[in-house]
Amino acid sequence: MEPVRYVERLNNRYRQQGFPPYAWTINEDAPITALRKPLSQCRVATLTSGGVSRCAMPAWDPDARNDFRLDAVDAEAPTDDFQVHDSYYDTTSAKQDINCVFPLDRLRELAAEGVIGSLAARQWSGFMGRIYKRSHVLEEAGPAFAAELAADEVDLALLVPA
Amino acid sequence: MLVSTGRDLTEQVRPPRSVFVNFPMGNPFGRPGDVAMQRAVLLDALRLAEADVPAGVLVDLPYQWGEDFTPSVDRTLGAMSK
Repeated sequence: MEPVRYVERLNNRYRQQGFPPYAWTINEDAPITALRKPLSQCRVATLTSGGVSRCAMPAWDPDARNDFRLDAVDAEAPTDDFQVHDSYYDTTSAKQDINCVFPLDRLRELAAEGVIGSLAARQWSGFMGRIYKRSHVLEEAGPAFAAELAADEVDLALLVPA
Repeated sequence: MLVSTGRDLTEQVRPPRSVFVNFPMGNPFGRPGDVAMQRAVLLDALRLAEADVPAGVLVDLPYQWGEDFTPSVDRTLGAMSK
């Protein structure tokens, strides 16, 4: 099947509901930084926005708006020790196997095989739900997250929106 | 490096590097227990990070979901526009 036209379909739904057109973020260009070392020496951190938390942590609000909670997740966490709460996608698969959205087992295997250098001790869950505060993301939450990655000497961030 | 299931959404935002998989939103790495697919998507993403590519690159991965997931999309869009 063709890729889903989410933008067009959401625009149509908002219009039908009488909302003003949604002001999408449209970037004309992108920054890029080359890896400073081979993948086999890189430390990798993953961020999921899929409403994923350890079972001992509070559940995410599945209908969250402008929730800037950010959980550090132990890279050694067993993958059967997660809960998933998010109304904005079908969480059925993630609840059965967290690797569908947060591939910790696969990353640990690649680290053990030497394909990647290592996993950062802290993996991440945050930026979930609906976030409308664009300038807060750009000026505060985003840079604060980047600083956490830098503190862990992360070479490569894997971002998995949901 | 970003793993996307929303091609048009990602194209607009233009992250430094992205791979697109034409899977439902809750399945960027595939189905539960499908270790081979989870690994394949992850490896493709990691290898793109290492490649010499232009800023904003978005690579379409060749994997097929194998069934129409429109009903799941309809539910997702309903929740998003409430």
